[in-house]
Amino acid sequence: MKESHLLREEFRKIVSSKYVSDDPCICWSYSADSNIFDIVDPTPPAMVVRPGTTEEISRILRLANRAKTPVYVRGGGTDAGGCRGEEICNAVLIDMTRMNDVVEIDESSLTVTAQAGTTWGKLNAEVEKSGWRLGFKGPYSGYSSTVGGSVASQSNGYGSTMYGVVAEEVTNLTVVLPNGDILETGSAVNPNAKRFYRFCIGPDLTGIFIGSGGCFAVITEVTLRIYPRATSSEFGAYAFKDYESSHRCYYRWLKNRVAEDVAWYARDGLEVMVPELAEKGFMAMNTFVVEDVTRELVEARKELLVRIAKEEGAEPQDPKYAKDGWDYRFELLPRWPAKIGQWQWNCHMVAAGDALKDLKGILAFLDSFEEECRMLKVYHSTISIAHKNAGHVSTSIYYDQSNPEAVSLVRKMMKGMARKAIESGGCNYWLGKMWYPYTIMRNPVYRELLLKIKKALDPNDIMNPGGLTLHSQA
Amino acid sequence: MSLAELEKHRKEIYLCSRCGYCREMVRARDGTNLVCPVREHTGGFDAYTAKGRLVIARALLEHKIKIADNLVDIVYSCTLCGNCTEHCLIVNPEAWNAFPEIKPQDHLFDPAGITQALREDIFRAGLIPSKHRKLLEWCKEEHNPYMERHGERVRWVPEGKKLPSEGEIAFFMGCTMPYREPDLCRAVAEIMEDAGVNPAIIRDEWCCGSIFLRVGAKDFVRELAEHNIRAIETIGAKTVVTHCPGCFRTLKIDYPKLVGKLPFEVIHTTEFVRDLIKKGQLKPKAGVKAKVSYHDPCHLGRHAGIYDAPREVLRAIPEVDLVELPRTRQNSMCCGAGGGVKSGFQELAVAIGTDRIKEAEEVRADCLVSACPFCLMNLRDAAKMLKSNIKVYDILELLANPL
Repeated sequence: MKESHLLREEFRKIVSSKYVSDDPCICWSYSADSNIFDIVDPTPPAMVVRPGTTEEISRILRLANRAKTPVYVRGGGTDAGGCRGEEICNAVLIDMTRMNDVVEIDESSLTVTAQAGTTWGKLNAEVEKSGWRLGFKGPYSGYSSTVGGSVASQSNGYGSTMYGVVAEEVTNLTVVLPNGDILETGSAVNPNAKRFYRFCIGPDLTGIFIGSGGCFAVITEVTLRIYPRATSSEFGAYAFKDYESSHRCYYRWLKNRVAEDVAWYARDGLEVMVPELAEKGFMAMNTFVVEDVTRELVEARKELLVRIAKEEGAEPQDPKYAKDGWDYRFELLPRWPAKIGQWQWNCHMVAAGDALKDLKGILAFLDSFEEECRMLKVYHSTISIAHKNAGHVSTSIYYDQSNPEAVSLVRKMMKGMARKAIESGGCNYWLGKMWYPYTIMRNPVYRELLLKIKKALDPNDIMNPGGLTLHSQA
Repeated sequence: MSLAELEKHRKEIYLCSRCGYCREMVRARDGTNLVCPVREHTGGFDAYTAKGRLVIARALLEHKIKIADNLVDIVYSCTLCGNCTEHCLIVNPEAWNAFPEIKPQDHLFDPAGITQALREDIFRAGLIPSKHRKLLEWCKEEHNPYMERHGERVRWVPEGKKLPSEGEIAFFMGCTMPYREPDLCRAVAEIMEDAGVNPAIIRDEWCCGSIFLRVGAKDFVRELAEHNIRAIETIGAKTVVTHCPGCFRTLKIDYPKLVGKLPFEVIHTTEFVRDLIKKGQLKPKAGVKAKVSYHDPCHLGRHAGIYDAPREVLRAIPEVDLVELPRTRQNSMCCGAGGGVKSGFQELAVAIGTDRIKEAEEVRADCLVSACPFCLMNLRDAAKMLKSNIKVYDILELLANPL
């Protein structure tokens, strides 16, 4: 008979017994997110709590801190990178999905504030119902992944071409520190001010918690910018016979900053995603999405993009290649396991122009990726989604989760590719175990500063211990 | 403990990428607003959703955990409504061109079916919840799960009324209607008579086995199927009309899987009545001046794809103002009674049912109408619990005995 968790009854006084469980089956249902690390080592937490308010989280953390019990925070459970530290098995897992209210859509400050457990599906629906739209619309599993999870793990996704990663749209956060203190960031440091502005009062403390992987605090509310709802849209798809012209087009589209979304499908990515074009001998396809508040603005933007594509010798294709991906965003990636297996990404950023200056370098990177995939007999694809001033190179591997050998190979391979991506001048934006050895661990000054922050905020090392490779009590 | 049935789904289980769309989804384009009805009325832990149960199923297959009492309760608290399957995007790539239209057969992955497979293993290990076991034991003797005597099944037939016991068209009455909602049986007989159809009664009809199939007693249901098919053949029926969607799904979809092709056709009353109305054989007796919302029973809608027939019947009733619920057709939320939940977890079933009553209130309906006696019972319980003014009816009641 399993003994009950020491803090269970205390937590039940805070949250009600309905939302606290240390039952092994319930804990096992939280043992794996959507990444290859959890597949190999699914680990259940010791207890799961589903709080409903920031204040409840404050009381939970006070108790956990006093008892030096590790705490792991989970949003939608779709972490694709492996953010969990190694002590999840002793941890209390805070399931944030009960905190799912859209708190306020504030037209005067052009922001929306949502509880951290709100899914992107719900947030998009509520914002659009009110006549607005989000800039960053959510990651690729957006219907069920949460706003807080995205902020904590620094996600990229739909709308990133124009608006960047989620971090760039955040104006304010409400966070609970490990000692239970509740902190408002940005303009809300002034209790008389609204949550509307990020860079004020002092250093950007909001930024400390973005991408912190749940190692510094629990994010409980997020404020994001909103924009008037688009009333008109256009889509374009253009195929190229060579890489150079497709890259030039991609860069020029990006440089002019008129498209909501720009993507580059090439090589194996074209073969997997758009085989009919690969069969016709095309080497790449570029797609764009334009949307805005008037038809005239959309037409003007489209005209510029089409002109650039023509100047680069592209052949126009059915716009549905762009439209389907945009209209059914959040519905493409979850379909892929049906076709060629479970996916694992290895996305990284490269400076947008470098793709032009060093096309050979990019192609060499992809050559080595594809060669390795061929050797290991795994499916793979490459897509690049434009990202403000960066090209986001998404190399994906598809594999059979039920085959331990394939899982082990892919895991090893992804780490190798992460190393190559970093060494070739790329940069990861997301978190996860595959990146740390080549990023945080390789820069002692940077890591030392992170560790100091961790020690200052979380001296008892309760927040996702080992996450971001950090232990404040090492 | 053997996991033979779960093992059959190993490939599917390993297809899951844990995207969580089976747990929760708000999708503006088609009005999807949450997916799992059970999650919303329990502590909401992942284990109570398809996503969590698939992680558990994988841990079971990898021998990382064993079946424990609480897992049995978790597995049996699912209504098997199939909304998780409906919203899973792991569909046959050959059907991608038609996306977002997804036909039931395009789904490569059936989270609800995997839960049912796990129930079959649990049942074989003798770990079925005691309430369900009691019903099973009773049904072995009296052929119904309502703790009633078999001989009482045709008690609903009005005195002096003679219904044929042979004929090409048979009425499969099920258990809920004769034992708990006998007026609905009388309504079927009355409507058919009005249309000049006299369906035969299957005097030795047994429970179709729907609830027992859902709780994992597949072998027992095979026995019930063999008996019922023999009984139907004996009376010479070529068409079997049934109203209970549990019976309908079991006869039409599950029996062929258990015992092979059926020697008769199975039709739901709403399809049968719709056709009678179209042919001019049947006219609704009177108008119903009311704002009516229709609740899609899971067994009839998502499981069997019948969405239009009941709506066409409702529209044929003069003065009915049909107003759709916010979550309707494929996105309809379960009433809460299915999958053995009503008999195993009564409070949970009614709590789930309150969501549908609230939706009917939201669209300012006067009444909520279903085409299922089991939904009817649970939604009435839910309306009573909420002290709602919403009246709950079965579609047959509106046809046979206008308000």
